[in-house]
Amino acid sequence: MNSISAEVIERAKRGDHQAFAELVEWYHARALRFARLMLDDTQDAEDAVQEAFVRVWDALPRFREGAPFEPWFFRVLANRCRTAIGRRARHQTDELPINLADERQESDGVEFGDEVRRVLETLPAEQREAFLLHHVEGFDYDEIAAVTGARSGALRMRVKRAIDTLRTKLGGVVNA
Amino acid sequence: MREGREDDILMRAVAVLRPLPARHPRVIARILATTAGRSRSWAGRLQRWMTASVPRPLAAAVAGLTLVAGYVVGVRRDESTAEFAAVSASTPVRTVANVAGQGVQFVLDAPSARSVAVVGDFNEWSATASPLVREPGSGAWTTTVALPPGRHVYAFIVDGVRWTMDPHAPLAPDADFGRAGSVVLVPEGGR
Amino acid sequence: MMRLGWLGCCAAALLGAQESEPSLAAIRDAALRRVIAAEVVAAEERGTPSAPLIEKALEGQLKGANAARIGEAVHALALRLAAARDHLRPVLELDEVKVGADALSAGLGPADLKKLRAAWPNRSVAMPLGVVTELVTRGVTPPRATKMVLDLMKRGATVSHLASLGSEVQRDVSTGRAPDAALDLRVRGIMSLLTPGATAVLAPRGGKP
Repeated sequence: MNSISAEVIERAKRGDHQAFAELVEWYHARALRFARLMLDDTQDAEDAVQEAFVRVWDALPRFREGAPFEPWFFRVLANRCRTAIGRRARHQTDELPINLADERQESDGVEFGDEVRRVLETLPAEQREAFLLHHVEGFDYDEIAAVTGARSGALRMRVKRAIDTLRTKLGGVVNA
Repeated sequence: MREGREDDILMRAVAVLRPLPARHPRVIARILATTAGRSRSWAGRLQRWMTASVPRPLAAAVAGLTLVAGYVVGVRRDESTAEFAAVSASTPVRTVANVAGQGVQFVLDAPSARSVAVVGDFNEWSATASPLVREPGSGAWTTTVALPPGRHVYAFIVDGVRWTMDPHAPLAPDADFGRAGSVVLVPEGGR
Repeated sequence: MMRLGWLGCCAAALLGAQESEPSLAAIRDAALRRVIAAEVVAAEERGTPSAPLIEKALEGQLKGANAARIGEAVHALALRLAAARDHLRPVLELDEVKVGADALSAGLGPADLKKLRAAWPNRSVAMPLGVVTELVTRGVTPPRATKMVLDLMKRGATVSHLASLGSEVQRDVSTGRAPDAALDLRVRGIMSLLTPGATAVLAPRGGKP
């Protein structure tokens, strides 16, 4: 996976907003992909991505020179997603899971992609996060540890459980 | 056997999740509108805190002071960006925009030029996106650009400093910035 | 030594004609970037195209305009895009709105845009609008340019016919022919291809073309 040049990050760190704009151009699609899959809501995802980039801009002066940028960036983004999930849990009570359960019963003939997203959404947030960071964003476990603060062994278990659930629930769709 | 099928399911699931969403101008613009000019210094943080928590007249004064400072900086920078010299009448040019089978061919006769680029609404007015290449043994510079059908405005930049219109193409007046270009109409292909 | 001519574009070449997305990152001045970013957000929320706004800013930057002038030009364009969108409803593609904004800038009125839309309710009017804009830029009055192109559209002219009308009038005017005379001549030529005998409906204006 291509990375943005360290020189652009260094310029952004020094306050060059044009370099920061390049950084936004470079990462916003990946950030949106991650946030949409974490939050399953376009507006919440856009808000989380915006908040993450604003925090990155504010915090860049403290970013350690030479450190890998992507795990740092995804740590900020994952934190914003967790905050959004927490906010939603406080304000939306249990409406969402009930609706989803109803939809799932009527999912005969549904597209495989829709089913994947639906199953993903039923995973506990920490499993979903670890699975997406590893299998979609391509981070290794040490990098995910830097993103999430969890230990590598725990992360492997989260990803394994996520995969087990996906296999079990999607196996039915494939066989149908 | 069962393992293989399950791996196939995982691979298919990941393939569904991996495609990147389309570029999202509104998200990008919101981020940049929020962060451009947003100071990361303690003074900037103080200003944001004040505009969020102090009475409106004082907050407006602080914001106004910042705008004035920004304006002065902006004006200084702008004065340094007057980049293009006037077209020199002593250097004859022959320019051609030619719609051919491979797109639109731009040709400029400029034997003494060191570099030539075409700029227009099709390449975001970038002086580096579409350079022309000198034809061996001649003074002609050419490039072919695939353009969508429609009306396009363009100009040449010679040696990075000389704004050059096409004397053989219709003129496109520029009411906004006062530097006219040339027009090419590209028909729809295959019809 | 002009080598200008429509030799036809192959479809493959046009498939390769990708409109790259203009980027706010290309704007050098941070204060201007903030102004243009705000215009982009507003445009996206209105549902009007935002790419032309960034292009306009980059055009001004390349031409050495100052930030205030660029901001004004971009804001004026944003207003024209919103107006064009309203006059061209139902919009079939965003390119129509962009070309419609250029048409308004060239002097066409809301009624002209509405008439073109009504003539082709199910086809993109981007090319007809571009050709009318070009005719007006060459010196034809907006009502006359609109009427002539509308006549052609109603009689079955294709976008290629219209594009050739624009380029041929361009060429005629550059060789000294009066804009109206050039338009009459070229419209008659296309009419004769569309409906034999249709040239009689167009009385020549102002002597021999």
